[in-house]
Amino acid sequence: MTRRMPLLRGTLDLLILKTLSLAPNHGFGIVRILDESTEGVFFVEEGSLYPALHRLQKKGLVQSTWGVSEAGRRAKFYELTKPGLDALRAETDDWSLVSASVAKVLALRPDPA
Amino acid sequence: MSVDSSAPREPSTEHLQELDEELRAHLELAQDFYRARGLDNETAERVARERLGDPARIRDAVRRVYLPRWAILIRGGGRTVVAAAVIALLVANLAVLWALHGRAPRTVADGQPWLTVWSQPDGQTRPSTLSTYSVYDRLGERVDLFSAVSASRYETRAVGGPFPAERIRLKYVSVEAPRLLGWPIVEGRRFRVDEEGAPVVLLTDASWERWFDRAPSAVGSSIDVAGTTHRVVGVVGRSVDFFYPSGLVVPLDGAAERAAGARLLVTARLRDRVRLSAHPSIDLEGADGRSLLASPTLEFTPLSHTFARPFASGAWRLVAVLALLAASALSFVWPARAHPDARPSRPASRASALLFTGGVGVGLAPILAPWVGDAVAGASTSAFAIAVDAPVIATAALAVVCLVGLIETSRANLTPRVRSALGLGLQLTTAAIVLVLAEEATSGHVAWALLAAASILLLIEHAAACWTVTRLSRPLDTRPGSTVRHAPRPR
Repeated sequence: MTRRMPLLRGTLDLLILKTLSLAPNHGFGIVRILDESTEGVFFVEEGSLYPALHRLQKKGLVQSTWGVSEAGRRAKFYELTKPGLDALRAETDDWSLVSASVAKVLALRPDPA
Repeated sequence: MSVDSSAPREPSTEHLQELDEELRAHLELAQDFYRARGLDNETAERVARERLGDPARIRDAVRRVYLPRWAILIRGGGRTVVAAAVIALLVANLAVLWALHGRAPRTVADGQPWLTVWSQPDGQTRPSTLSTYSVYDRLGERVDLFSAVSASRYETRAVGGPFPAERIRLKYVSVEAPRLLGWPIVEGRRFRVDEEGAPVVLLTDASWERWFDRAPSAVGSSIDVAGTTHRVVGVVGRSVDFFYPSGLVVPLDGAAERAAGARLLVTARLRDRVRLSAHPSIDLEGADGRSLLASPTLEFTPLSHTFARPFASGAWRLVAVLALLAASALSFVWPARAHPDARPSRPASRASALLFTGGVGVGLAPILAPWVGDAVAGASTSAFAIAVDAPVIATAALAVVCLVGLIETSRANLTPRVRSALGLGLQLTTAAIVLVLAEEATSGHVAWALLAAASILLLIEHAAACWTVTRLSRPLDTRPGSTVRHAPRPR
């Protein structure tokens, strides 16, 4: 049974940007990608996605448009903008640095002496 | 396909309707997904709705995204009400002080208004209640306007006698003042006109009890005041309430006062049928280069307070204090309850805590001052708490300690509840200390300026705190066990 965890604060925006960098997508599509790519480890509250999307749109990091999904349903698609791409790169670098640093600390072993 | 590239600055009705449409599309897509995985229509719809969460909360969170930052003040309703109440109390306090300080006409028992004389020396931009002895002289010459004029000032001196030597506060008055002001004399007599500057003193009720155990024989005994032997000629009754608690009343020496240019509080009583409205500004033909202003005074039965202390009634004072304390407590507790995840450990929050503490402390000061002043007087080695220099320094040091403690408390990684309790305790302690200091250090315009500054600081603090709390809180609580239930993952 997969152990489920809430998202770390501040990571949802980064994951949304990354997801949209693959292709424009609607809210439910983003949730599905996050769920499947993490094999259900991260517990993404679907309702929390939309404030985050609108916050990113207000910042100009994503833009939206109405379209038709693969299933033939009308949906609002979000797409990464150039500033959004820049933000994604910057936040990815930051996250890599943080996670690598945390990993180094966790890898410490007691001194055998 | 049109691109909506510009996000709205304000959450318009159309925008929210579009959000509803977006959420409906989300539910349809989700239901399709779950149906494709074998769930029946009803179950698919239920699971889709449960995993999406409450649409009202989503709408509220999205609307918050587009609100301007200042709108947080409105959205943070509880805290706004608390802050508004605190500010209103401070402003009301300020208004009371302002209204009573030489503005609101009062009359003494015989119906004649007493005036506090304001003088504006050359080079000063604002009038002051401190005048010189020559001003007192010139007012005394205006018999057409005034039936009585008195002068007084306070000074701390070393005294000794049939009791251990100590430093106490003395009230120097013009020789006629006790008579003009109607001070009751319970033993002995008042000063005589020919005793201007003479080595005679009146005991106050506190010093009479402290030094002579209320013995009538105190009259006629000798007291050493700053190296000069003075004779006790009388005892002032208990009902006389000096603005600053004093142990002895000493007659002013007019010649010495004139020579030294000492600053005095001068008060005068208008003659019958003379109304202040006819003489809003009394020009004494530039006496000593000064123009004089006169305004009605208050609390003049007998001469005691140059400005009234607000909420003088014990019950009202208690209500005011409790209201302020409740507001203070809520300001700490409410953010912690409303935003359990918010940890105000950032500089802005620490600064806001400091500002709030200072603001409340200064705001409380004029209200609690009489109580604390009484408490200090009771606990002091001197029954009338004259030599306050050492306690003031000590309380100032303690105030600094409390403020540092407040900073450290806000920085420490404590639970919100513990931090709130500690912060509240320190805040109240600091406020109590600040008001002790304010009692001694502030007067007149200084007190008003401090109160006004406190109100402004509270506004800044409130905005900073709201901004910080909102920034640190998440729009939706995604933790397991939160109010939004999560459906089991479909197979």
